[in-house]
Amino acid sequence: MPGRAGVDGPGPESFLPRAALPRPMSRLGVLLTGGPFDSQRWRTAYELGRAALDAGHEVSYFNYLDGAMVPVADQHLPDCSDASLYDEMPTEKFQELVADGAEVICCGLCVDARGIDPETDYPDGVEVGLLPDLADLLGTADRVVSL
Amino acid sequence: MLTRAPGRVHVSEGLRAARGVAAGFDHHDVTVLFTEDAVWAARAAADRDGLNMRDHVADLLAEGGRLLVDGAALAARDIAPDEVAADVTVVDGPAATALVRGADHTLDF
Repeated sequence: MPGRAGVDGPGPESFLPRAALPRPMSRLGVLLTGGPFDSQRWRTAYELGRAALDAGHEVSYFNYLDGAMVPVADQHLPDCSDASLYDEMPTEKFQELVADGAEVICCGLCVDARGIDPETDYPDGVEVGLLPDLADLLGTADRVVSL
Repeated sequence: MLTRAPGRVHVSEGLRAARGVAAGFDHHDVTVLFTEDAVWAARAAADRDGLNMRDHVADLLAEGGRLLVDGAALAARDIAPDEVAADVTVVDGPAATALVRGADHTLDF
């Protein structure tokens, strides 16, 4: 049991630099409603997830509304600067997250409404779910960010 | 929190999400706050069928969900409290703030 400062004296962890302290894994949930080409929300969602994964946390996305378009494969935006928001297509960024352990679930109703065929349009690892999956995310995530 | 004006898909789809989360296995307690331009959808005169709200609202209320509207956002748009639908409760700024602060999570639409 860690010591209580001023009572039992400082515990051994008090002498470790903050960065060296083990931190419990947290679960970050992201509700993404923004599409791939309407704003920077998808990129913010990616960057948050990237940072959380790099810090050892679990990350789950629920892509709702136009967010269901974000992971669709084979999207192209010609003549983009390598320094721009679209240095890589949104789907490539999300495939990277999936490969590194992120869970990406797209709302099935939104998928159908947009004529997306998950079998052919989504890369491996992108799942299709329903609102109970969002409920599950809310029940299990330590923090939820809505973008 | 619903923030977009009626006519955007976010009002009805935010209500759909609220309904879905409230009805889920975990049975979350869900409160919907109409704020910013979404307060137009909280009026009694809003066409709930046209906005695809009616079934979502009915199911949400049946699951114990609540509908609130931001009184300051109403006032900013010259919407009188008596124009608000009977199943929506007007709250002031501190109450809205307390709602957000007390929630485990908030979702924005």
